[in-house]
This record gives sequence, C-alpha cells and structure tokens, in this order.
Amino acid sequence: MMGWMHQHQMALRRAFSQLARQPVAHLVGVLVIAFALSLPAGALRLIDRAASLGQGALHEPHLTLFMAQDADDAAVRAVWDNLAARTDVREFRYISNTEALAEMKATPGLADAVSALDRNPLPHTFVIRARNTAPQALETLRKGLAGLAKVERVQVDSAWAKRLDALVQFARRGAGGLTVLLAVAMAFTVFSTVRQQVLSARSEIEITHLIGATPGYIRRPFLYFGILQGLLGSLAAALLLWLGSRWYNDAIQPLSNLFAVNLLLPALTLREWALLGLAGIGWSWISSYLSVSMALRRIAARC
Amino acid sequence: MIALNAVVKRYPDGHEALRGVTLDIEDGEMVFITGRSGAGKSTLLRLMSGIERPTSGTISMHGRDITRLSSSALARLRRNIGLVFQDHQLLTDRNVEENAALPLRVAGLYGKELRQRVAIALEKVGLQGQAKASPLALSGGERQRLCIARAIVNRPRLVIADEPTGHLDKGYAHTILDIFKSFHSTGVTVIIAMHDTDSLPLPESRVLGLEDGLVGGDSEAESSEAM
Repeated sequence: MMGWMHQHQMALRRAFSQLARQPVAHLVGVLVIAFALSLPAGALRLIDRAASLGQGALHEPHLTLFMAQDADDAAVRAVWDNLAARTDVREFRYISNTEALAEMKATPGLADAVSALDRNPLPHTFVIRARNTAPQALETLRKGLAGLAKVERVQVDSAWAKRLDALVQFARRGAGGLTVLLAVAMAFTVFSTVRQQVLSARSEIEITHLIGATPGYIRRPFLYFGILQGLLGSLAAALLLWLGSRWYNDAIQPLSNLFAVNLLLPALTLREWALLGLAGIGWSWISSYLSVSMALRRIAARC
Repeated sequence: MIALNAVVKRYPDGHEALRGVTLDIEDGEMVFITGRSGAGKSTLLRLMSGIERPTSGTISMHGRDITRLSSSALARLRRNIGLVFQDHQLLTDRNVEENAALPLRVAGLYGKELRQRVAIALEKVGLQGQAKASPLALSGGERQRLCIARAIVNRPRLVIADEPTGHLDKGYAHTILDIFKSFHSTGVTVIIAMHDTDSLPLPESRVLGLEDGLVGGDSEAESSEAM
C-alpha cells in the first residue's frame, strides 16, 4: 500500500516537473482549456439571465387592456362590470392613468421627463389574468375585450416573452454548438500535449515496459499531467468568468437601473464552481487517457 | 521450470521466427542458446520473458501458461525475471544508481531498502564506485554490467540475457560470463543467447542450438543419449 502511494506521489511529482519544465508552452494549453470552459459557460450565464426576464410572463400570461384617451369614468365602469361578469377572467387589476403616471415619476431617470409633460398621456389600464392560459383561449378573450366601447387596444403580454423564449432557445442551441466545438479543441490540445510528452519519453517507456511496468504504471504520470492541466485550466476559466462578470455588470448597471430590471450576472455558485472544475479535470483526464493509451499501444507494438 | 510446447512465432510480415520449438529448462540450470543471426534466439527469449506472445503453442512457468496472461499480469511476471539486453537499454538522463533502481521503483520499493538493494547489485557487478556517474561516461563493458545490475536488483530467480557479450572484447566478455556464472552458482536459472561461440568458449553448461526456428541440438539430450 505504501509502495503504491509512493508510486502515485512520484507520478504526481513528475507531472509537476513536466509543467515546470516548459511553463510557456503549457500556459498556452491551460489558456485553451480556460477559454474552452469560460466562453460557453459565460454565454450560458448571459442566456439564463435573459431567459429569467421572460420567465414570469411565460409562466403566468396576462392581458393588458388600454382604454382610449377620451374614455370617461362610465366607460371604465362598463369595462369593469364586463370583466367582473366574465367566467373566463380569473382576476383583474385596474390602474388609473393618474396611478400609472405616479409610478413613472417614481422610476429613476424618468421623473424629469414626466414632470415636463403638460398633460397625462397615459391611458387607464386593466391587467387581466385569464382562467385558461392556452394561447387559443387568450386570443378569444383578447378579441372579446377589444370589441368593448372605448377600448383602444388589448395585448397578450406573454407574446414578447414567447419571442424572447424562442430567441433564448436558439441562443442555447448556439451555445451548445460552441460548447461542443470548444470541447473538441480542448480535447485536441490536451491530447496532442500528452502525446508529445509520451513520445519524448519513449525510450523510458520502452525500458520500463520491458522490466515489468504495468500499463497503469506507465500511464500514471501522463494522466496526472492531464489532470493538472485541466485543474489549472478550470481555475483560469473561473478567473476569466469572474473578470468577465465584473466587466459586464459595470457596463450593464446603468441600463439595468434605467429599465428597472435586473440584468446583472450573479456571482458563481458553489455548484457552478464544482461543475467547471469537474468539466475541466474530467475532460482533460479522458483526453490524456486516450492519448497515452494510443501512444502506448504503438510503442508496445514496437517492443 | 520453463516448458515450451510446439511454440510457433510468425510475424505480421509472414516471417516465421520459430517453427515449433519444444523444450524444458529446469530451475537452477544455466543454458546457452546458440545459433547464427536470424535463427530465432532473440524471439525465443522474448517469448520466454513474456515480452511477446507466440502465434501458437504454449509456454508455461512452473505449470502456469503465460501465453494466456493479461498484459498487466505479464508485466508483473517480468518483474521476477532479470532481463539483460545486447543494446543495454539504459536511460542516459539518469545516473547509474537511478538506472539500477528502476525495476525496484516499478515494483513499488523506495527509501532505505531501495538504496540498499541498489548498492548490493552495483557491488556484485563492480560498479559501486560509479553510482553517481552518467551511463554515457561508462565504457561498453561497464554499461553491460550496469544492465546486469538492473536485471538482478529485484533478486530474480530467472535471468535472461540476449547477446550480453555482443559488443565486448574477449576480456570483458569473460568478465560478463563470470558474473552470470556467479549468479548461477547461487541457484538462479540463467538463460543466455549467444551467436559467437567460436571466439568465446562457453563454460560447462547446457547448450541449445537453434537453426531456422527449430531446436537443432541440445547438449543435455545428447549426453543422456550417449550414456
């Protein structure tokens, strides 16, 4: 058992010395892994942030009914009564144009613009939740309400969320493709780096093979090397993601304030850290295993 | 005991190096395998040490058929065989001591025991004063002695040497053979392949002659027939 542990210790030490021997060459490999991990991870975080904007509207679609500018209290009352009597309306909320203007005034950045208005341009509004949220039922309800007197426009507010969702799905597919491409690039980098190492240690491998080294013994230092590269690549990827998030958040903060929506990227969670590490180490391990096994098969055939 | 039964080795290019070799080697024997180049000596040794597998036939060691062993099991088997190669197969980026220690490291030994065993092995071949030297600084004979030290450092019960005196002058060749004789005298089975037996008389031992992939002569069989 102690001997086995000593062999692992020696293999790990050797992997470290390989890294230290050509730091610049191996830094390139580490950076390739870092970009291969951080680019899709960053893209997916951005896509998730965008998707979260539409999530509420998608899960609970509603209609917004805008009254005409000249609608008086009686017209508003008539629409109210109609909504209250309908069986396909689950609930509704009335927002008067005065209330809406006050909300706008409270929004940072819009107060000055609203104060400059000589009259209230906003219409009276009803926010309606339907009993049946199927697209067809929503459309029937929309058409029914649009025909009421002094109703300017009725819109289904899940439509934009659906469009956003479609865009998000498309972007996710793109990010998936990017992930596959970069994973292949990463595997190729680790594969060729390890292959170079195996070939440069060919005579040593041949000799140790002849004097009784098992394939596992011969493979070990190269696998450790791959794991180390993957680990360093994962750490560099986490650093890149952190820096990227900071830069993005600084840039998006004013826009986020202006539209009163949260567009900021949250810090990496423990789960995301673990996933990043596992992806980097696991993929590097697989790539180095394949590389060293193929090279060893070729060397063994010559022995 | 090593027993070969109808062993054939055919390479992918069609060349048949061994064409049905059957022989037994008892524990503690010293056997010389002779024959001209291409007779199949090296192939026979590689098969007996588990470096290659035969195309057909069986090779057993103490009743265990080694041709059916996995790669890892064959590797472990080789740890118990001391192998000496004509071309030395030394690592030039490691010193004498580190080269000799290689089989012990592979076997998982380290620390004081490793150092002691290496020192004993180097002493047996007369290289104790050159432990820190590079193999590149050694003469041909010294390199061969280092190769022998590496072969015996694991205290094997079987030593297989392929043309160990091939590149050496007569004086050094005798020294190398004396080293092998001293191992044999301690009960170690020694199998040595040699092609030049005219200029170097072999010590009193069993001699197997290989001709075109077949055993052409066996001194042991001939002597028992004569009696």
